[in-house]
Amino acid sequence: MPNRSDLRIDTSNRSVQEGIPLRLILHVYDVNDSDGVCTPLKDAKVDIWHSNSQGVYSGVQDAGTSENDFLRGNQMTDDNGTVQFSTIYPGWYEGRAIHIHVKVRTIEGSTEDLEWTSQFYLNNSINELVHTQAPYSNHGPVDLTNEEDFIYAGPSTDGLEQNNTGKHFER
Amino acid sequence: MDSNRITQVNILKDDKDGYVGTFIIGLNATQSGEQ
Repeated sequence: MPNRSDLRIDTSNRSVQEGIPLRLILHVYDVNDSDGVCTPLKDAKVDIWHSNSQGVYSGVQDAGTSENDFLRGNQMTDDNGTVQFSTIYPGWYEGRAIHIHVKVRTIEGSTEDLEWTSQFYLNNSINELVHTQAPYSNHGPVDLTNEEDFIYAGPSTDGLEQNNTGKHFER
Repeated sequence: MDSNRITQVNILKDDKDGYVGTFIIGLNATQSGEQ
């Protein structure tokens, strides 16, 4: 997993993934259990990976991309707990709604202290709109909505707080 | 605890024919390493 903010370039052959630009801004906080206070989590390692416009991942032998590393990378959070990535809008593949994988790790010395893995989902309406445009349209319309996905836990009902299992954050 | 993890997305049209996605993640990072 390359340490970089621009995920579009494949370091094995310098090719660039085509697609609609997507800038990801991630803010990572340490949440205090007792009072709910959120403190920016700095020096956390954030991995991002997702499929290309045709629903293909790099690093997959069956897809013929085992030597590639496009649309994969990591960054360390800054003093504000923030990382940014430049990538493209993901495509879909059979049986899943469009999603972006994320993993956050904190490391104390040489020991991994915490690892959290989840997936981000994007708005259905924008997913559909994106797939009317090339090169996404070559792959056809989106296979599944978020609600039809077997992992997606549902939208936040208050617009703010929900964890990856669909439960609301409890203060 | 699962209840200590938050994700949120606001995805907006950018001014350069692309999109910006902002996600907020809340983790119980310093109090335990449980998953």
